[in-house]
Amino acid sequence: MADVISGLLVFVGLFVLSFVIGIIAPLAGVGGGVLFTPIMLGFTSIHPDLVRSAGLAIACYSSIMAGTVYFRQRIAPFRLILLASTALLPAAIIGAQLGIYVAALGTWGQGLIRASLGILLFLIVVLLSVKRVDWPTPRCNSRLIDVFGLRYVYHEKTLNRDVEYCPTGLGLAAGLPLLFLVGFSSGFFGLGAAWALIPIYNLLMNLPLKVAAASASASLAIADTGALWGYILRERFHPELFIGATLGVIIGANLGAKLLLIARVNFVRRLILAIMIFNGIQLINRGLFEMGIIPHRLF
Amino acid sequence: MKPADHMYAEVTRALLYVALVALATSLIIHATLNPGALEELSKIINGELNIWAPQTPVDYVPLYAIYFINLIVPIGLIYVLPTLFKENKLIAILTVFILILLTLMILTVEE
Repeated sequence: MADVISGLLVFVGLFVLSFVIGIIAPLAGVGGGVLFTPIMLGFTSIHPDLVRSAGLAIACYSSIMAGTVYFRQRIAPFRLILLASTALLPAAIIGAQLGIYVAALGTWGQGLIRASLGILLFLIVVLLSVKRVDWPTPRCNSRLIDVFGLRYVYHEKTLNRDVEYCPTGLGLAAGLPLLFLVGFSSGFFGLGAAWALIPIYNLLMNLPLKVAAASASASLAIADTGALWGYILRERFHPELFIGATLGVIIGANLGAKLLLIARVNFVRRLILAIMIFNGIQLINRGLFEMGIIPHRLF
Repeated sequence: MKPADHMYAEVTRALLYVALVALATSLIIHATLNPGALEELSKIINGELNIWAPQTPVDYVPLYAIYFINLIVPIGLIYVLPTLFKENKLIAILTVFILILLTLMILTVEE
């Protein structure tokens, strides 16, 4: 009975933590999965496979939810996302399979995952700070755009006019290999990837910032579905953790999206970036210790 | 006829709401009828458990709910495929490639 009560307390704790992560993530401009996985890997002893499958589920289901809104409004281009998924999906599957393999190597492998995720967190913080372009001039004269039907128009309420957009042909060609790397990191680490997709869509493919952000949110549903099947069918998940964390983050994110309208976003954003940096240091510290590279954990 | 993106959004939204309710319900049923699952959480938090497989019939309830939510994307893509073929054949062919990959993933890993 004592074990059941302690398990119940663990569940409530995990749910509350996931809920809080769900609330603060939109305020910081990141997805819940980007905070959930590093925090759980850095500060708990839960096995990386269980954390990553839950993190992937959060990223995947949040992305499906985003798609239900953005595809209807044409803010996210469905055909471009299908095209992107041909690179994201195989990469995410390879990443997930390799992630499971590395974690199965034991403490050394788990340390490698933690340390590399810590390094990736610093890259995420840098990419979140990169300046973006709100309304780039559309250049839809590439034949590639016509062949794939990637010219879109949506009504922008803030400008009270229709906005035409399309990716540039060159950006599309250069972006697809990068999407492969993004898909791989999503599958390997069990992370969302809006932090990487927004710069690719906005700065490389020349999509308006709002379209890039919506597309990034809706992009990972297909890829992460494939990666998740790898974790689920290899039994690398636990239903209470998986479902509790997913529901916690999704419910929290809905509240966070409403708070976004009234909260002091700059303060929260800086706070989250500081937490991510600290989390990155902690992951590298713990990872290097588990790999046997440093003899003692620094803290 | 509605465009493929509208159809996909509508079908995935309907399925997602059903799946989220199914997930929440399955969690309650599982935790109530199999308190052992909560005991396992104590082990998980200490890093003593990294694998889970259904042991009792009630364990299949959350498992099937998780299977269902992970089928939303393939179902949505299959649903819009005929419309996609009318809109853009190349993208439709890429979608078939995506569906084949997802199907292979599901079938090959299960073995």
